[in-house]
Amino acid sequence: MPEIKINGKKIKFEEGKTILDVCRKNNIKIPTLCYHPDLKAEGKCRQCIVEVNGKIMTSCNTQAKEGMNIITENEKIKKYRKINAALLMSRVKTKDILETEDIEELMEHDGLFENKLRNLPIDNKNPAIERNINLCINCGKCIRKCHDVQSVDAIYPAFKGIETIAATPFLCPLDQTVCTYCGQCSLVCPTGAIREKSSIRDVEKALKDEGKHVIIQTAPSMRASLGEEFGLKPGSLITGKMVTALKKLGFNRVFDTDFGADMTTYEEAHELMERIEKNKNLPMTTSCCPAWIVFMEKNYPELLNHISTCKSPQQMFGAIAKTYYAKLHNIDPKNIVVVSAMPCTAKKFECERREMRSSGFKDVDYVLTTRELGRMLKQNNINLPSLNDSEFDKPLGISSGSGAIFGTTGGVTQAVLRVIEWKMKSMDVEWEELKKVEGIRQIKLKLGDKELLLGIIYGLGNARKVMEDLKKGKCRYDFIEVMACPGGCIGGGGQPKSTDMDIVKKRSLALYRQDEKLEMRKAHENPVLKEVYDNFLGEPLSKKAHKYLHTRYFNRKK
Amino acid sequence: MQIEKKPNFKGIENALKISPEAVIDKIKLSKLTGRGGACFPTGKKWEIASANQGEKFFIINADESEPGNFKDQYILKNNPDLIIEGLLIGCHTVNAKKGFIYIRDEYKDLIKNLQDSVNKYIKKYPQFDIEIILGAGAYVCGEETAIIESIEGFPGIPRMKPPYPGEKGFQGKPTVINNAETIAMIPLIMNNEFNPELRLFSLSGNVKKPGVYEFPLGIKLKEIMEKAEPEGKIKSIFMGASGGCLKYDPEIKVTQEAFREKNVCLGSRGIIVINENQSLIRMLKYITEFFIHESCGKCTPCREGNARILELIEKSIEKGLTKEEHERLNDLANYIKECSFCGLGMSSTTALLNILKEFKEEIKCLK
Amino acid sequence: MKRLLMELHALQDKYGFLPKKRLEKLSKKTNIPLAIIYSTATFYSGFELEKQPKYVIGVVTCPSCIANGALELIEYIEKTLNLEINNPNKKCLLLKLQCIGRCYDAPVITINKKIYTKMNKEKLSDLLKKCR
Repeated sequence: MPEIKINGKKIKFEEGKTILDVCRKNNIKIPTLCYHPDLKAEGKCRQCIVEVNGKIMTSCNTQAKEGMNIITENEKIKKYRKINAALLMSRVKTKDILETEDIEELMEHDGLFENKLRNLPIDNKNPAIERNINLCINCGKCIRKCHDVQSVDAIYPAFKGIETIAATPFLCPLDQTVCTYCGQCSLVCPTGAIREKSSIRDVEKALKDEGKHVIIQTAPSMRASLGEEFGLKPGSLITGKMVTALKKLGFNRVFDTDFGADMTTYEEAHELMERIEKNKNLPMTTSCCPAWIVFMEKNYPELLNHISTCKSPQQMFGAIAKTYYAKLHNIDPKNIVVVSAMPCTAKKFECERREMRSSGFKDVDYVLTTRELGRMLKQNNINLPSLNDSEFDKPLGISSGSGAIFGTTGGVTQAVLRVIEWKMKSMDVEWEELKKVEGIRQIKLKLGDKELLLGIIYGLGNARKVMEDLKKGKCRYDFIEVMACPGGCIGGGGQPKSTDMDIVKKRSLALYRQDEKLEMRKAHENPVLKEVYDNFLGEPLSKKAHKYLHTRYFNRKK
Repeated sequence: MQIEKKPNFKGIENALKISPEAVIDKIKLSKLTGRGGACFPTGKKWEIASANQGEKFFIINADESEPGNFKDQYILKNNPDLIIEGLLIGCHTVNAKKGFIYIRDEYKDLIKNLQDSVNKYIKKYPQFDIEIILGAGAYVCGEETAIIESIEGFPGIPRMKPPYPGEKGFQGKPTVINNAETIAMIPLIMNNEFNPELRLFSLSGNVKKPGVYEFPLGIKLKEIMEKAEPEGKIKSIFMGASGGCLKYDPEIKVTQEAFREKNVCLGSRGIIVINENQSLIRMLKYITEFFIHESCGKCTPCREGNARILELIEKSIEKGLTKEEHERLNDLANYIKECSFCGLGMSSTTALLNILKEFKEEIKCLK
Repeated sequence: MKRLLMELHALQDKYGFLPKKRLEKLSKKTNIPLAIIYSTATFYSGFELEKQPKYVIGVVTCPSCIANGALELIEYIEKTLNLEINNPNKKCLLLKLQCIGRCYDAPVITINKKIYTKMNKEKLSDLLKKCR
C-alpha cells in the first residue's frame, strides 16, 4: 500500500483516493462546502484547501500520491479558509438561512466583509419548492444533482463571475421549466436557498381548528430517516416513537401510507397481470413516484401509456380516507383534513393536481417533508428519541411488510411480485437480487411459461437512458420500476440534509428489517384491504376501483 | 521575421513523407515549447495524445484575449497558411479526426482570410476537416479546458485537471490544444527554417512605435524599448494584465527566469509600457475590473475576492487605506493567487502583488 | 448541426440580441436543454439577451488604452452626450470594454461593435454627432 505523510504522520492509503478521503478515513478534519460524497468533486468552493508539498491545493479533488507531504492546517491555511468562508457568507443574510448544520464552520467567520447581497425575486409559485437565490453561496451542488444525477436541467449556472447564479432559463419560475419537483436540489442546498415550500403553518392551523378531523399518514421511508433529524444513527427505525410524536402534535388519527402502499400493490399487480395477458402497453412502469410522473409528462408525453394508471399510495390513501373511512366513522369528508408526512417534495405537487379529487374533495390536503416534520416536532419541544412507542390507529394504520419496502428501490417490484406469485402460483425470481441498491438493475422473471425482464431504476438520469431506448424501440423490459431519487424514497428530496448513498443503504436495510419481522408481508393478506374491497370497491380494476384508485396523465411538454 | 515565411505546402509535404513518430522526434529536437505562456514542450504534448487510441481532436487556440497581446492576430492577418499547415501536420501526426480553430470574436474581420486559407489546404488535402469557431467574448476561454467547454457549447468554465485534454478533451476524447503561434512554428520546423530563440512580442502603451516584433530571448529590455521608442520616462511595464508589473530595469534580460525572479511572468510576451505620467493604482483599478469581468464565477477566490480588492483599491484612491485594510489587501491578493481554481484567478493579483512590493508609494494609506 | 456558439452568433447578428422565442426554438431543434442555452447565452459578453439601445458605445479600459487617454475619452463622451457609464438613455449606452487587441492603435472605442482606433476628442466629436 502506498504511503503519504499527513501532518508529519505516515499514513497508508488506497490508490485512487483523494486527499480528503484519506484524511476523513483517518479522522483528520477538513472543512468542506461544495463537496458531496455522491457528486463529482468540482474543487469549486476552495474551503477544503491543504498544503501539498508546500503548495496550496484542494483536498476534495486531488488524488493522494505516494510520497506526498500534506499539512491540513497551519496559520496560512487557517487565514485563507477564514477569508474564503467570510467571502462566501458575505453574500447572504445569515439570519435567513434555514438549517445551518452544513455551514456552521463558515458562519463563524461571517462579518469580516460587508454584506454584498443580491436582490432577486423569490420563486414560490409552485406548490413544492421555494427558491430564494439571495441565499445562494454558489456551492453548485444543486446543479450537479439536477444536471449530472437527474439529467433534468431545470437549473444551470447563468451569468458570469460575481453575477453567477444557479438559474432557470430566463429566470422564470420553476413551474415553467422542466423541473420535476424531485427536490434533490433542496436536499443538498446548504443554506435553504432552495427549500421545500413549507406547509407547517397550514397544518398547524388545521390542528387548532376544533371542527376538523385531522389525520396524518406517514410514508414508508420516513420511519427509517426521521430519527436522524434528532441525531439518531442512520437506519434507526423509530416507527412507534414517530406515532407517539404525531399524537402529541394533536393529530386525531395517525395512519400509515403503508396501507396505501398495500392498495397500490394490489391494484398494480392486477394491472400488470392484465397487461401481460393482453400484451398491451408493455413495458408497464410504476406510477408511485410523483417526480417520475412529471418527468414523463414534461419529457416523454408520447410514452405516457406505459405508466401504470394506479395512483400513488399517498393519493389512494387520501381517496379512501375521505370516502370509505369517512363513511365508516360517520364523519363529513369536508371536515376531514388529510396530512401526509413524506420523504418527498414532489408529493406536494402531486396532492395539488386537479385530478386528485376523486372523493369530491382534495384527497390529500397537505404534505410535510421529513425535514418539516422534524422542524415541527422541535418547535413543539417534542424530543423524538425520548418517547415511548405507540401503535398506528385502526383501520388505515394496518399494513403488510410489502408496504414498508415501498420506500426503497426494488420494494414496489417485490411487493407486486408477492401478489403475482400468490395469484399465478408458478413464478420464479431471484428475491435477493431485488434487494440491492443500484441505479439500473435487470432482473429475470419466470411467470408460468413466460420469461419476462424487470428493470429497476432509480435516478432520473438513469430513467432517461431507459426511456430513450424505449422511444427507439430498443427497450427489452416488460416491467420497469422507477424512483426519481437515488435509492428510492429513502433518498428522497424531502429527507434529512445529511442524506448520502451510505446513509441511504442503511435506511434501506432498516426497511427490510421491518418487513422481515412482520408476519403479514403480502399486500393481499391485509385484512383492512380486504374489507375495503369487500365493502366498497368490489374487485381490483373494477369501475369503482378505477374511479378512486386510478388516474391519468397529461402532456406537459413545451 | 521568421513568422512571415510562407510555407507553400512544403512543411506538410515534408511531414507526410516521414512517420508520425519521426515528426514528433523532429519537434522534440527543435525544443519548441508552448507560446501561449505555459511553455509546455510541444513534442511531448503531441506524443501523449499520439499514444492514446481512438477518435482524437486538435484545437488551435487563437482566442488571444490578454490585454496588450496581438501577436496571434498578426499571424492570422499576415500568414494564416502557417497556422493551417501546422494544424494539418498536427492532425496527421496525432491522427486527429478533426481540427478546430477557436478565434476570438473581435478578430472576426480576419476570418475570411483564414477561411480562404483553410479552403486552399482542404482542396489539396481533403482527408482533413477543419472548423473555425468564433468565440463570444470570454477571456477565460484562453484556458485550454475552458476552450473545450466553449466549443462544446457550454460556458467557458475550466474543468478539473487531471484528466488533461491529451487524455480526455473535446467530447471526452484525446485532444491536443496548441496556441496559434506555437502551431505556426511547426511548418518552419519541418522545413528546417526554425530558430528556437526567436519570439514574437506585442508592444504597446506609452510608445511611439507599437506593434509586433520578433526578438531573441535573452535580449536586454532596453534594446526592445529602443525599437518601440518610449514616450517619456518609463516607469514600469505591464506584462498584459496577468503577467504582473515590472519596475523598469533597462538591463534586465528578457527571459522567463529573469522575470520570474522579479515575480513577473513573461507569459505570451505582451509588453505594455507605462511612463511616469501614469498612476499605477489607477491602472490596477482597471486591471482588477478586467478580472472581475472575466472571472467565470466557478471558484470563490476569483469570483468573490477580486470584487473586494476593487473596493480596497477604490478606497485607496479616494481616501487611503487604514493599516488593517492594507493588510487585508495583501492577504486577499495572496489568497487569490494561491487558492484559485485556474490560471486566470491565480494570476489575477500578480500586478497588485508587484505594486504592493515595488511601488509602495502608489497605494495611499491613512497616517 | 452547427455548434451552439455559432447558432447564437447567427441569432445575435440577425436580431442584435438573442430573442427568448428564438432560443426556445433552438432548444427544440438541437435538443439542448433551455437552461444550458440560457447559461451559455448569458456567459459570453458578446451575446445580449435584450434589445440594445440604438447606439452602444464601448471604450476599452485596458492598460494600453488607459495609458493613451481612454479615461479622458469616457469623461468626454459622458459630458457630450450627458450620459453616465452603464446607465443608458433612450438612444445610447456607454460601456467600458475589455481589451479587443487593437492596443497598437490605442485608444480604441467601438460603436455598435464597429471598431474605431487612435481615438481623440476631435474624431470622437464627429462620431458622436449622430448619437446626440
